[in-house]
Order: sequence, then C-alpha cells, then structure tokens
Amino acid sequence: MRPSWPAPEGPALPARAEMTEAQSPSTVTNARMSQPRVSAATAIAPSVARGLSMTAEGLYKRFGTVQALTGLSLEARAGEALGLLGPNGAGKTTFMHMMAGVTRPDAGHIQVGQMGPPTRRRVRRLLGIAPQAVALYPRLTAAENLRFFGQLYGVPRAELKDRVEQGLALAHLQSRRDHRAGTFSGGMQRRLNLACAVIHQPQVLLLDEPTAGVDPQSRTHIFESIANLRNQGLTIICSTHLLEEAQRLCDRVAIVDGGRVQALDSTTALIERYGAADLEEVFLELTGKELRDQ
Amino acid sequence: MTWPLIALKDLRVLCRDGMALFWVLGFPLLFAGFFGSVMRAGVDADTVPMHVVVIDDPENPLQAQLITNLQAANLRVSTLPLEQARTTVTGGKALAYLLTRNADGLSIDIRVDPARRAEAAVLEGVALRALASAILPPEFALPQVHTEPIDAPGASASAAPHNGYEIVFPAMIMWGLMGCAATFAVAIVSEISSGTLLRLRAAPVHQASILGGKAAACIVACLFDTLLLSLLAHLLLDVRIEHGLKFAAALTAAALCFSGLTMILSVLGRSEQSVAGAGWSTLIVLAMLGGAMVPLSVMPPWLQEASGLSPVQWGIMALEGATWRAFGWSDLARHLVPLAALGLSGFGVGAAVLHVRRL
Repeated sequence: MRPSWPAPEGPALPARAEMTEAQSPSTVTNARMSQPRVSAATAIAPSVARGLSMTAEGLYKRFGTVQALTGLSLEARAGEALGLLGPNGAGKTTFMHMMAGVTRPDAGHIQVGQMGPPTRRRVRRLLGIAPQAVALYPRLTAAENLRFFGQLYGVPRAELKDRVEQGLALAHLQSRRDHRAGTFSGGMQRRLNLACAVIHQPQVLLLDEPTAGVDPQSRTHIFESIANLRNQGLTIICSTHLLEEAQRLCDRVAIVDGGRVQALDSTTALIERYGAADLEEVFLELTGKELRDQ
Repeated sequence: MTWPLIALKDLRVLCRDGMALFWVLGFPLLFAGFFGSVMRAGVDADTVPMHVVVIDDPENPLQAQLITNLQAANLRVSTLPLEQARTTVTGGKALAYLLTRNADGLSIDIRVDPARRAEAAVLEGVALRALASAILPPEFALPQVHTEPIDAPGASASAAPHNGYEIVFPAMIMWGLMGCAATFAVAIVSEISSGTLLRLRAAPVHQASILGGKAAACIVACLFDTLLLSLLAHLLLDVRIEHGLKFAAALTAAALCFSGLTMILSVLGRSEQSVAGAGWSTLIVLAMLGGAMVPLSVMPPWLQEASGLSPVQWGIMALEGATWRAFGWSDLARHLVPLAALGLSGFGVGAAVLHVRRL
C-alpha cells in the first residue's frame, strides 16, 4: 500500500502568493538570513517570471536492486523555496532528476503548474537545473558556456547578449568572461553553474547541492543570489544535506529518507513539533544516527 | 533545431584540446611521414639498392663482369676479402656476400644476413642472371623479363602508386579517422561524467537532437580531418588524387563508418579512462588486422583472411581504389557499402545503449 500524502502537522509558512505585505518574501528572508540583504548579487540578478508550483505524487523508482523512491509525494508551492534535506542515498538526487524530466518514475506522476509533466519539452523550457556536479564545459569560456545554454533553451538572439552579461554579473565573473571555465576555482565554477541554470529565466529552479565544496565567500554569494531569485517569485527546490543552507534559504523543508518524505514544514515549525533544540536534532531524530555507507 | 548548436559546441571544444588535435591530425601525419619513407623502398626500388659484397679474387676472370652485371641490376656492390666480407654481413652492413667457385662446375655461394632471408630469393635470381650474363658469349642473349605494375581494367596507364607515400596515404587517413573516433568517444563519456549531458537532457531538446549533434560533429570533424590530411599529403608528400568523385565517396563512407564506431566505443565503458583504454585497444586491433600498422603481405594467411573483417581494411581498399588502384564504381561499392552499413549500425547500437542506460 502506498503511503498517503504527507500532510504538514505544524504551522507552515503561507505560500508566497498568499502572503500579505507584512509577510512579503523579502521580510521573511531578511529575518532568516544573517547576511546583509543588499549585495552585488542582489542588484544584478536577472529578472524572472513568476514561479510555478510543482507537484509530485506517489513517486516510485527502482535501480536494479535498489529502491530509490518509495512513494515520494511533495508539493513546491508557487514562489516558495523548498528545501530537500536528507542523508546520502535518501533519494534526493533521483527526485531532482525526475523533477527535471530526465528520469522517468516507475509509478506516480509530476505536474508543473497546469503545464503537465516535466518530460514535455515545452515544460522543461520553464525549468532550470544546477546539477550537483559542476556541469560546465571546461574548454569554453564563462561567456561561451552561458551563451550555449541560453541558445539551448531558446533565448531569443536579440536578448542573448544581455542575458549573458546578466549571467556573468550574477556569477560575479565579468572580469573573467573570456577565461575558460576549466581555469576557475571551485567557487567560481559553482557560481557559473548557477548562472547557467537561470540564463533562460526559468519559473522553477532545481538546485542540487548548490554550494557543495565552495569557500565561505562564494557560498555567501550563492546564498544571496538564490535569495534574490526567490524574492523575485521564482519557485526554488533545493536539495542539500547542509542544514545551514536549508535554514537560510528555504521557506519550508522536506526531510527525505528511505525514498519518501518523513516530514515537511517550516524550520521553526519542525523544531517546535519535535521539541528539538535545532534542525539538526530534528534531522537526526527522523533519519537516525547510523552511518549511511552506500 | 538544436543539433547544429551542439555540433558546433563539440567542434569548438575539440579545437581547444591540444592532445586531441595531435591524435586527429599530428599523429597521422607523423605516421605517413615515417612509414611513407619506409614504403618508398617498395615502390622506388632504385632509391634503396641492396648492398652486396663480392669476395675479392683477382684470379677470377669473371669477377669484373659479374660486378658490372650486378651493378647494372641496381645493386650496390663492394669488393672485400673473405674475412672482411663476413664481418660486414654479420654486422648488418650488407645483405650478403657472393663467392664464385669453379670446382666441379661453376657455382656461386651466397651467404646472407640471417635477419634478411626474405631478400635472399631476390638476390639469388639477380646473382644467377648476372653470372649467366658474365659467362655467356655476347651473341647469346638471356630471355628478357619485364615487370610492371598491373593495370586495373579500364584504368589509365598511371594506375599505380608513383611513390611510397601514396601506398601509406590510405592508412594515414585511417589513423586520422581512428583519432577522431577515439577523441569523440571520450568526449561523449566525459559529458556523462561531468554532468553536462544531464544538463543537455534537462533542456527542452529532443534526445535525438543531442545524439544527432554529437554524430554530426564527429562526421564533420572526420571529413575536415581527412580533407586536411589529403591536402597536406598532396602538398608535402606529393600524393596524387586523380579520381576526385570516387575519392570523395570513399572519404564520406569512411567518415560515416568511424563516426558510427565512435558511438559504439563511447558505450564500452562508463568513465573517460575506461572508454579511452577500451577504445584505443579496439582501434589498434582493427588497425593491425586491417593493414594500417603492418602490411597485409607479411601476415600469415589466416590473418590475411581475418583482415577482411576489419573496417580499417575496407577503408584502405576503398581509398586505394579511389586513388591509385583505379577501381570502377562497382568494385568500389564492394567496400563503400559495408563501411556505410557499419557506420549506420554503430549509430543505432550506440544510441540504443545510451537510451537504455538513460544517461
């Protein structure tokens, strides 16, 4: 029997569309983020269309003998930042690939707004993905990488030059625009990875561990860029196992383990519900303390 | 239409990879330069004469005439005492020494360098003829033997390689194609491991466009590479291409074949290292079997039979047929059709495996 939709038990943040002025995205983010809100990344991030909701229902996926997803159901509301927290092997990346339309579920379905599943090409045009690996062409320059992915997503020729400049500014790589991506540091590559994901101004952004392996300066820059995109109404689904990342960036957090959602709510609500001191305690309560060596 | 975009990107990446360019362009030229100069011996026989030593015997009335006749047969002849001649041959500085005897009838002893016994049969014929000419009266003429390259049916009189480079030219083209195939196979798996293929697949692009773009880039690279190699071979090595249309057909079929092979090679492993290793190993076996490393004529009979299984041999035959062998279209088609068929099959197999793996 498949598990039912995991209903949030604690108080959840209202969807961005339902927020009052007092609960505006920037207000919520300001309260949550410890960094100053005005930054270079905030000032130059490309504008985005309003985000779409994304719904996954009863997803199952098996790879050989490994059951990666076991009835995972989740909804990312339009304009919210939803964090996926889970230990290694929890099924986060499989879920992200399904949301990107790259992997088909064995059972269940995914819906992007009213547009249909992400396996449709016209729906994929609305999605942006920053994969866990830095998915760039090391022998192409920063500008060439951005231009290529812009063209791939059908950015009109007349807009492409401006979009590339915006992407370079978002990644803070204007001075390195003609340098090959392979010569960049890990942090620079991560920033460019994110810029390539939003060059076509998607309505849903899928981030798979967006700050893995970067220094605190680049991480802060990426956080600010993502927060700015969220504030503009983009729906963001961010897979991570860094609790700080989820806490700083996300309106709600889904704790995933064993291929399904174990809990879904705002960080504050989850901490209250489980009577924990912080999110880490909630996480360990739900996922256990044993090592995940797989 | 996104496949040209992907193809252009792949070609740009290739142009910026120095090591890949070496395997695609540099190595085939080095190969042709080296083996071409070796093969010249087989075509321009007067450029590398056999060196033989005639044992110095002033009392032998035939010696002077024998030496003259041997020199007339394009041999380089030295005259040395027996011990010195022995040292010269065992030291590898001469093919053999010749000693004429006149006891119990006229005879000639030939002592040949053990490493060059294959040439002994040729020397035996030349020496026998030289000796016969030396002892026969001038009015008695030996039967004349005329050896010429065979004319292909319907071919012009020039249907033969006019230098050694024309013989190795098809093998050089094959090495260029093999370099392209190995490079692009690694590039495909590199896209998988780096995550860029995931990004391509997440884009609003049909999977056929992704594979089509990669195939198009490989075909374009193969054609450009082979055309450039042909031009360089023509300018630097004096290689003639007299049948342009047939040559273009052979190049296209070979490029198609090796582009299809690229798709197969790309699924032989799941990492750059495994694909590079498995890819080059496969290609080298095909090259050896197909006569691109060792001439087929020196292979044992069973290996010569087996060479018919190698697309490298089909490609070499097609290119030779389109250049100096002067094949007709029907003969040429016997090699073009399997090349094209293997190429198309390769695309099918590679695309199917990539699809099943859902990379």
